[in-house]
Amino acid sequence: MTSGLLLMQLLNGVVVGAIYVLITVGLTIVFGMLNVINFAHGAIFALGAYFAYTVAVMLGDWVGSFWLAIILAPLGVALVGALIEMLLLRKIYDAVHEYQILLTFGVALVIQELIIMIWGPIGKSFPMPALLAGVIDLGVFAFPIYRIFLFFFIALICLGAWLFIEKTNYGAIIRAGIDNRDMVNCLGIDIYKAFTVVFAFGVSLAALAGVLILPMRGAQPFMGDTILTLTFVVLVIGGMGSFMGAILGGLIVGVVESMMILFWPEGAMISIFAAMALVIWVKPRGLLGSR
Amino acid sequence: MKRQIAVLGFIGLAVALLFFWTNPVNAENEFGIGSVGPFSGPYASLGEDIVRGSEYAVEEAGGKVLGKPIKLTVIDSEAKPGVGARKVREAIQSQGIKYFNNETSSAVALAISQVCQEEKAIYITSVGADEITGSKCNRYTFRWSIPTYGAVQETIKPLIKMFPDAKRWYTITPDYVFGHSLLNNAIAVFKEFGVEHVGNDMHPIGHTEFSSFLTKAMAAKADFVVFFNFGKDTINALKQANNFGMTKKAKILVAWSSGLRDLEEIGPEFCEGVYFGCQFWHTENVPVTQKLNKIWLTKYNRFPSYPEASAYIMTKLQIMAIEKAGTTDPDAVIRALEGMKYDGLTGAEEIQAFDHQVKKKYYLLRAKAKNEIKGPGDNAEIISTGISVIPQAKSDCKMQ
Repeated sequence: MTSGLLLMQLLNGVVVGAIYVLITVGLTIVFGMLNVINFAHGAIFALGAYFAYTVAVMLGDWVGSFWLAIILAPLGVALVGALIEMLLLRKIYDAVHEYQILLTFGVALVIQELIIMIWGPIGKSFPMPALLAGVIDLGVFAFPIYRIFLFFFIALICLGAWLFIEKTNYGAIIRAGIDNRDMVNCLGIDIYKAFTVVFAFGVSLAALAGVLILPMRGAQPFMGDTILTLTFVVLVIGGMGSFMGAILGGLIVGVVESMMILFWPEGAMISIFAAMALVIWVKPRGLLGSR
Repeated sequence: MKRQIAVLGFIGLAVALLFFWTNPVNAENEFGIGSVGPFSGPYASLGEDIVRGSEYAVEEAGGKVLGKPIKLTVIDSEAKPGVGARKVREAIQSQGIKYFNNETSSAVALAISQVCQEEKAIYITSVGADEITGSKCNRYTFRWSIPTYGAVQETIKPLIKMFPDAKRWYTITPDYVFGHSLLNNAIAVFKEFGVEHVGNDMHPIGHTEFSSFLTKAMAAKADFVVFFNFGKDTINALKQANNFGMTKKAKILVAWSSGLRDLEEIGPEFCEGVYFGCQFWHTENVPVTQKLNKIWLTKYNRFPSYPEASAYIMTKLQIMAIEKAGTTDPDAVIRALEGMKYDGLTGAEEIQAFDHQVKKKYYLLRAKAKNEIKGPGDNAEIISTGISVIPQAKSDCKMQ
């Protein structure tokens, strides 16, 4: 086993981890603010990929089609998310968690079936954007340029999301809402409007992950299922509702998965769950969780 | 009291109605065939293909066998062995169906095969695991597709001969019956030809991220990387192999693909130059295939894919054998099927009597580049074909 191979797997793990981070950040923001575990997050991730596919195909071979899709698909999904929040979620904020799980799980099924009705059960492929196709040759290894772009792009998005939450007035309302929803309401701020914005923002991050994964894995109606499981693992490891926890957890899961494939490929998935169990055992609230 | 009696009466009536309602195959007037496949969940598109193929076989026969109308029943296995076996047993016991075909998962097909043996019902399948017509063969089970043994013989062998310089082979295998079966056969071929098997990785079925496996294969300096996975797994693996520039560093073989469907879904950008093994390819110039092409082009405006074609031929074989036997009695139909020669999708095909395996061609395809493709369906060219089934002397099948 060469050090080069170890380095490569680390790189692979970090990039895959970055995708987990992006999806989990969306989930964790929604949980932190709305106190709702969104089981439709995976299906929305798939919806983002399909929206992007449609935008890119409509624009045809034009070089900018993928870049426009990166902007338009998350916006479209944000709109869908806003509708879901206003028409459905809003009715059950005060209900027990089981109701919210049932509702969001139902939404997930509806989205999945709609995808099959509109785009068909067979998956879709989308070629790499020309600008990012190709590899950087590292001797024995080659690393796709696209994956390097992916890492930095996600880092940028996360930084932006963090600045939005920590440094803007709107972010302050959101943070206040996480701490004490009723107090924010008493201060004369329309907390429900903030909820809609947060939910739309959270799901648009999942959609963005769907767009970014499109050239790597294509779009399939059930692509959200596996990713949702992993996202929950990341969420638990990092700590529910913690922004930094999502980033840390995502990178841990990505790297553990990738490294274990070197030593024990059959056990790659098991070791992720083992890592989760370990975290729950040592720190029941997750590495950076506060509740 | 009166009211209670009335209520009881209504319940009785409802139960009776329900009974007649769910008992649609009338043995006197109708003949039932059950097509089994995954009709829900991630593999549902395969189920739809199966129905299209089976329906056309019935339609081609005029909807009748021996003068009785054929009733096609669709059975959703959900790709789970327990579910598939239970539903087939129910169909036999409550609806009296004695003829079953299809299913795409080896594990599910093995379970159904066992049920059919116990219940004396005829089953034709197209799954890969050697056991179906090998160590777990039985009198009631037949297989149309070439098993994993032949798939390896007809893909890896010709490629070793074609590329004598490719000495280092790496395999990526899904961790279940079908994958293990392909891998074991491949290891035997590697030994036989003295090429080096530089590594193998097992991945769980439904795996989506292959980057780490691909990196390992590249680190092993493989000349040839073989994917033994199927469907979605293959599609993901190939896309990522392309992302990593592997297609330029090594040759890639998908030993068992579902043909045109996979090629179209992956797209020529990703599979240019990749080798694919396949049970069926629509350019085969034989009457049965050409007729199927024409029908599919008129009905669906595209060429038939492997799951559709195999479902068609398996249903057709059952209908043909019943006509030949002149009865729907399974024992007589088994005798009619054993040794039957017919014009099939790959030319002359024959059902071997000793293990119930169909002798037919297997194809090795090379996917074309985008600018080489002249139109729909022109995604690949056949570069080698042959018939490889396990010879009787080496077979593990002890027919009961």
